[in-house]
Amino acid sequence: MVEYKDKELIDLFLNPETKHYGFNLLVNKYKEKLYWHIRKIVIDHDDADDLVQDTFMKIWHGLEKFRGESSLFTWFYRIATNECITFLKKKRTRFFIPLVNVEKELERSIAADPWFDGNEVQKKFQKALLTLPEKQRLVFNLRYFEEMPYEEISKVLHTSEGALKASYHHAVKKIEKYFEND
Amino acid sequence: MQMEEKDNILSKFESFKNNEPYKVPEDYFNTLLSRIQDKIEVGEKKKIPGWRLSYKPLIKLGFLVAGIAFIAFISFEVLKPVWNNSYTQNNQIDDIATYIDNQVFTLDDVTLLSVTESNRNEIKSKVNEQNDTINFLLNNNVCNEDIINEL
Repeated sequence: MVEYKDKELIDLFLNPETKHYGFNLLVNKYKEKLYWHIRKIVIDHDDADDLVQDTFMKIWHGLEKFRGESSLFTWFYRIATNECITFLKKKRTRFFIPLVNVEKELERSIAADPWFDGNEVQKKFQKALLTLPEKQRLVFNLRYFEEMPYEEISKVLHTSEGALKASYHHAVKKIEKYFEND
Repeated sequence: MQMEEKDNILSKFESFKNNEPYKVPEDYFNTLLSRIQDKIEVGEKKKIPGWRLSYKPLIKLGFLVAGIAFIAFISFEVLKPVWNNSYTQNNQIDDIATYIDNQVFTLDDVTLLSVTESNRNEIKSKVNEQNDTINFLLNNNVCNEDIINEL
């Protein structure tokens, strides 16, 4: 299968005759990466499924205006991350009442999730991640799991590299402490 | 010892990188594209005309202004009787005060002339009576003490 570069995919998308073809190639290239990024944040598969579709819908509508200031994938990540943040915010303030602890809910869905296949240590690790503040968890996921450079993460989260490095360092410390205390 | 423990924890993390604990339903990724395409097709059919998108903020603003106007109208209708009462009372008091002031301090020609004919005649007859009394006393050599007592 031919692997197109991002620039080529954008050109295909911007051409009205090949728009759908270009978009399909983009989806196939990035669907798994985006899905797993979203899944790690929202935990539940059905929620992740909805959000990844919404993300690609936004990409379909917004790609014409993409100015190339960051890499295409960074831009995709930013959209996906914003969708997740909006989703979690809505979950927090349903009916204008802040929910006690969305993270506790997410923790419960790990325990009850039929689509969670990890062992006890992995379950514990995921629970440790859920003790992190939302943004810190995002930083950790992007840095640790995606191995994204700080420069790219700063474009995704609109945060300085220094702040990101500090955030990641604190995240690691908290996870270590979680394992030590248990 | 502590460093080794830390390394153990981090090394556990390393193995999780390539070993996703989460599963997906079978064929999920193979069918994802078609579901996204269906959603786009539905979205395209329902496409809102561009002018409606650009006027959306104006429409929202219009609703907001209408809402505020409605609340103001209701408040006005509710408070109008209270305002009217206090206004009427205050006006009445002002009117009375003005009338009194005019009566006391503004005795102009019009007011004087407005004294009725009967009032004038009454005053005249009283003045005449007094004159007659004085003339009688003077003509009949009534002494001063008697005059004072009479007055």
